[in-house]
Amino acid sequence: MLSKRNLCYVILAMFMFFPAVGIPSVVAQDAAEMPFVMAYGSDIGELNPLVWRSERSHWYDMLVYDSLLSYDDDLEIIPWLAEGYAVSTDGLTVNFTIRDGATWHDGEDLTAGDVAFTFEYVRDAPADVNYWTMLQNLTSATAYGSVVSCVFDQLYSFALHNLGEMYILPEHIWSAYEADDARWNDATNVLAHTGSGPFMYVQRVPDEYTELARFDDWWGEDNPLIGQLPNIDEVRIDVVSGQDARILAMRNGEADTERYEVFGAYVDEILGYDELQLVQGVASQWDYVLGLNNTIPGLDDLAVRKAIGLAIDREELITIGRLGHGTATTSAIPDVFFPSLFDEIGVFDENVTLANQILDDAGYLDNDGDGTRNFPGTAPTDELEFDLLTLSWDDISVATGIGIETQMARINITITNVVTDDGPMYDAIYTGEYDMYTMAHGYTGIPDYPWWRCHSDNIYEWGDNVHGIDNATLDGILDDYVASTPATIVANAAITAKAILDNVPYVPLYLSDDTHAIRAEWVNFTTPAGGPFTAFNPRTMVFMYDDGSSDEPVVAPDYTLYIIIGAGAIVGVIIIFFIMKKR
Amino acid sequence: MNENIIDRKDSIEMIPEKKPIHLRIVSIGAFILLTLVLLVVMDMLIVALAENLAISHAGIGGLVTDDPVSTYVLAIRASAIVCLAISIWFGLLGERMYLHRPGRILQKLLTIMVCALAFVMLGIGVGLLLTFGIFFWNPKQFVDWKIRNLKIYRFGFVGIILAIMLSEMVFGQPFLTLTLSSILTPAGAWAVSLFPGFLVIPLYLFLPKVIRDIWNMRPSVENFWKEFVYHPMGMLGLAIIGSIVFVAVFAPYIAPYYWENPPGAPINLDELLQPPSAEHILGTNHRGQDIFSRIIYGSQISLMIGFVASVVAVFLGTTVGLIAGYYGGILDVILMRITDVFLCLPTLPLMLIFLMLFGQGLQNVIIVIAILGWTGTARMVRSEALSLREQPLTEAAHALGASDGYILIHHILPNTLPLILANMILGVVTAILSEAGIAFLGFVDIHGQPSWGIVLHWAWKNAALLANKWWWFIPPGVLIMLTTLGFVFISHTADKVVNPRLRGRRS
Amino acid sequence: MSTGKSTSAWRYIGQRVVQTIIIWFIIITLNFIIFRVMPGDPRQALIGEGLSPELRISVIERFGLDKPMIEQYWLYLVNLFRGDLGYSFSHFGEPVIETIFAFRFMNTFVLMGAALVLSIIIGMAVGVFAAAKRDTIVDTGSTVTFLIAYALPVFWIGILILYYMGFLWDLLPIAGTITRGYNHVNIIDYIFDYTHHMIGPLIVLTLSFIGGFYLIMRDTVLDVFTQDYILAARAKGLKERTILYGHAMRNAMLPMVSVIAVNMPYLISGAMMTEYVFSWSGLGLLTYNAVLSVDYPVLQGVFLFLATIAVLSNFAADILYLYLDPRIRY
Repeated sequence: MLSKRNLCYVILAMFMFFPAVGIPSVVAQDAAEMPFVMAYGSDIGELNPLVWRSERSHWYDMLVYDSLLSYDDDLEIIPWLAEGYAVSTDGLTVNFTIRDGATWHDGEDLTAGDVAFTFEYVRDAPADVNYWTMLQNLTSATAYGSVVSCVFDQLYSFALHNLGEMYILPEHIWSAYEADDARWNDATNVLAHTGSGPFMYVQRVPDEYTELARFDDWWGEDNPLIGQLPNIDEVRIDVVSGQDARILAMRNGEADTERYEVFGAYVDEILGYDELQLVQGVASQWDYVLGLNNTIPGLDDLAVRKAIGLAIDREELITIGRLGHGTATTSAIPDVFFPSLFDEIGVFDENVTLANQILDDAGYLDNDGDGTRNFPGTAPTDELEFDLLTLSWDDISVATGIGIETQMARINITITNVVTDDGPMYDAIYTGEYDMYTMAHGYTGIPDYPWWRCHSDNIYEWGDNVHGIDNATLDGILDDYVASTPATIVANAAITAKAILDNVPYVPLYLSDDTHAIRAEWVNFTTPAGGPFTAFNPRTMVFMYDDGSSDEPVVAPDYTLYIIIGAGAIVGVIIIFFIMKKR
Repeated sequence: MNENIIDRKDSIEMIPEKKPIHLRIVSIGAFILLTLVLLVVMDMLIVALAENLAISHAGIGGLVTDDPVSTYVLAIRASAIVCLAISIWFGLLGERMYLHRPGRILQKLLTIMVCALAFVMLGIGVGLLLTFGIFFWNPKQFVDWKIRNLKIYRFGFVGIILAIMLSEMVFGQPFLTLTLSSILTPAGAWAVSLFPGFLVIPLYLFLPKVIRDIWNMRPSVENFWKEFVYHPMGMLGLAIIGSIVFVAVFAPYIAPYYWENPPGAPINLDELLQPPSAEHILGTNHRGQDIFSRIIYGSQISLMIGFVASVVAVFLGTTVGLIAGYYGGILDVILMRITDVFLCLPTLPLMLIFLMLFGQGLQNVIIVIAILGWTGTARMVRSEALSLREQPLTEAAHALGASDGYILIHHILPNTLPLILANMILGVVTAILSEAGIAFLGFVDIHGQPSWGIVLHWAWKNAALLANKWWWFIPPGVLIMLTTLGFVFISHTADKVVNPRLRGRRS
Repeated sequence: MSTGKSTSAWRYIGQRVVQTIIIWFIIITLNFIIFRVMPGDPRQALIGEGLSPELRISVIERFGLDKPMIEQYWLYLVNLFRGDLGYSFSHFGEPVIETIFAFRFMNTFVLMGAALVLSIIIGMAVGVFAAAKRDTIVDTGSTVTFLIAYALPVFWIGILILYYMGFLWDLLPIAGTITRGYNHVNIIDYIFDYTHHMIGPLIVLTLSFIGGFYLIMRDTVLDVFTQDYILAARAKGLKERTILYGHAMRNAMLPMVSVIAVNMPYLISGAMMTEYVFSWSGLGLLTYNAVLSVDYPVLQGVFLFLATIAVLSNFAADILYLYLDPRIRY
């Protein structure tokens, strides 16, 4: 009965049904009280907080490590691990008072000595560690009781911001290791991921998930700005490749939010689901600009650049590019983020008549009657036309480019939308072989983006700079801005903003609104109304609580497809039948 | 029982008067189709050569788009067409005359043409000249040569090609594509530099011979068709492909809208993401474009990439395979090692990287698919050529003093033709699937005219799956599947027809 | 005679070894060149993330990209023979060897292995069966079915499975190789969980492989049926089943071996789409992410590894052929 062959069949059958047997066992989960799952497109690159290279890793670092300072909704500095801070009037000494009662995840006390150690450790680390360059001007960091005093030998107006953003490391764990030691990324060594942040490292399976648990001895309860521990007791970062798959996972309840913003059609979809909500309204970390190459004939004329700046209808671009989820901005230093540094002088508001007027006055007339303005001069002069580079995979950039193309037609400048890829795009920008480009730039809490985009000393291999200007006056103004003392920084920022707008190296278009999708049960914040935590800051997420309004996913049945498939199958069967019969 | 019926039908059809009309249609249709394809390809070659010449005449880096140049190209093309008409007259009607005296003239012309190539592409031209000198010029001299001499010559040829490539790498001079004309023109010898312009024309003289060969192929096409007709699977495949080709050709008349919005309003804000309705059968996409029309137009791109990539790949593979298999020796070793190298490269990742490297134009997609897809054909053709070389017929031809080129083209190529065709059909399947895959991942020009893969890419990027918008992501996929299925059906049936062992013992 | 044969066989093997080594060298050189002519540089990967320009210079220096090309090539060769493929750009400080082999290779290997075994078993069994019942409705039906499987676009069927089976009907997990954050009780539990996650990609890959295997099997068995020894077996009065699975199938295995060996690189890289759709963390997904983030060392490592496997499997196929088929000429 039980012949060799039959045995083979049984084994084969077992093999085939093996997967099916596995299904029920997965249901058993050791449920955390309130697990919060973020779905990521790809895995965290590095666990080492000194060298984070992507925003994904930065997220993880923010939860596990503490920085001395943080930012509120308006990107104003608020104390975090440091109770207070002081900058000397000459700007060369920065003092932090470290909070009492802060401990590391392994139970050791966090002292001012750890902070001083961190700064000097980074200063002496290899050159590709984050903040290394800035810290080369650090003479010493010394702990006096609970105060850390950092002395610089050169003025840098954002020294406070930079020091405040760095993640503080435990001296007792890292004093014997290099900054690029392999131990930093060892997923099995929990001790190597000791921080002082609200969450501690639990475990990680690379390319699958990273699990963090609430740190119950966190100092947050004592901080008046927080006053509590996070509600979420477990954070997990899951890897789910496609955006569709991530949102399906969210609707399934397998994930609670995703790291990336959702764009375009996704926004509408998510607004239509009861179980998902869109976190909206707060400006997030991307801004779209129209970059101009000031060395190109035509664009080297301030009149043309001004006219372009004036002819842009930002609201329309927001509608086209992001289906309305954006905040128009007209300044190099947007008032949404930096109200104290923002200056109104020189701001470009839409004014097509004025733009046309400026071009007419400068002699750019349509002298051959083809609808495009020509360069000044007698009859056949070159047309005023430019190529606009947009990023192929970034539909927002392409759509914005299309919008700009139509808007520039109003002042009779012809724009050709050149859709290109990352490689050629950055190549063109590096080598200066471009006319214009539109893409998103990342933000940090420091308004230094006008600085590094326009400062000719500061850009490696980019010719004069990314926008092709080498204006000694502008450089001087930017130098002053970068090396401002606390007393002069606001005034210098205003001068810089005006100088940039006067030169128009680029036209600010809009900031992208935060359009994060999140499961409905997570949308409430317990921190004070309008609290200190923005969506810009990932720590926000972990202070949410469950308001009990979560719904099971309801999917309206759509039978059309099934009917079509059924009909197709019937037709197919009939065809096969006839064919067989004919034979 | 089935077999009996078919057998009887076969025997009935042996009587010539009873030739059914569909047989005529198919054989003449195949002839016209092949001839047209041949003419178009030849014309493309002429234009490419003429443009290259024009650039070199205008000096390095001159723009082809400038007006005088395109007139120049047009002139060459026009005179070539006149030549074509004349030679077709010779070829088809004055067959005998064409075979003798003008045949010699044609041979001489071809020889000069290869020399003239040096003006257009110096590096490649020199290489061709050498090949010509060594292998084709006068095969009879080989009789007196010892094997050692032959080896020296062959190694010398390979060495020169390598040296050209090396010098290009070391000195950074684009020697392979450098033109002699671009050296002559600045030197004042513009008249000399123009001379190949009048010599590329006779390329057309070559055609009538080929066209006549195609015409003579009708009986075998008819035989093939007679058998093919009785396989419903093959007919179904033919019907599917036929209707899809029909849709692709007549897309402008079938599709209710164009594949993109009119230039003035690239984004149709009023009609974004509509569900299916009477106006838009399959709804609209994120730019307000009609998805149905996009899919209809998409068939053009998908089919074109499939066909062209497959033809290029098979052409490459056949050439390499024939040369390697027929000549053997060091050439075989080198060519087969190159094939092995290509065979060992991971295809899909390399396609993505090449597309990032070269940009995402349509021609690049075709080149990338073709370059990574020729190896299979090369191997098969080589082994076929190897075995054919050993056959008595080939040896007899050799003994009669037939040249290598003659044997290759008249004995070996026709015998490998079924294999080549089968590879071509399967190549189309692979190419269409590859294109769909890389388009889905967004590595092609996703903003241009869509292929089905691109339609799927945008569906995927615009939450179609999430919203269960089946009208957006099901039809393109089904069409890809149907197209490949059609080709697979045809290839499967053709295999049955051509390979009698699979058909069963019938005769 | 036999000694003559074995010496010439050894000579043949020796030739193949030399050729294989040469091909491998060409491939590693190509591998180096391809990634040096790529436009742009790893700074691209960092540009969007708001890192300062100075940091980018330091990154270039760390990876030795500022050295002359020849020196880089020499270093590449030397490191290669030390088993050092460099460090990943996007996984800071992680040796590429580890990135590839730590677990990703295993995931791909298990998935591909299972899909291959499944499709070979099903494809062969049905193929032989169909060949035996040639030109019946069974044959036509199975041929059409498998041709349809052959014609399916992999990624499309993948997203359909993901949506319908993963989401709407909630039968399969949406992503990953294991349930995230779940601590497995024991190894059996782990295997069950892993297998459950594997179903989706397994279906897709099996579908994409099975058509080819079926067709080859069917055609070869049809071919074998015309051979004399099958007729002889029939004449001997052997059972049809014994003839089918004992004689015909065994002889039809030969082309299968070569097809599998020659298609090895395709089989491995073909998993890329599937791995991307199902977030299956294997070499395919790694390659995709590396292409997106321009992570040369990882790409270089993966390519080298795949090419090496391909070279070896081709070599193995040649040797196997020599062993299996006594008629072969060399």
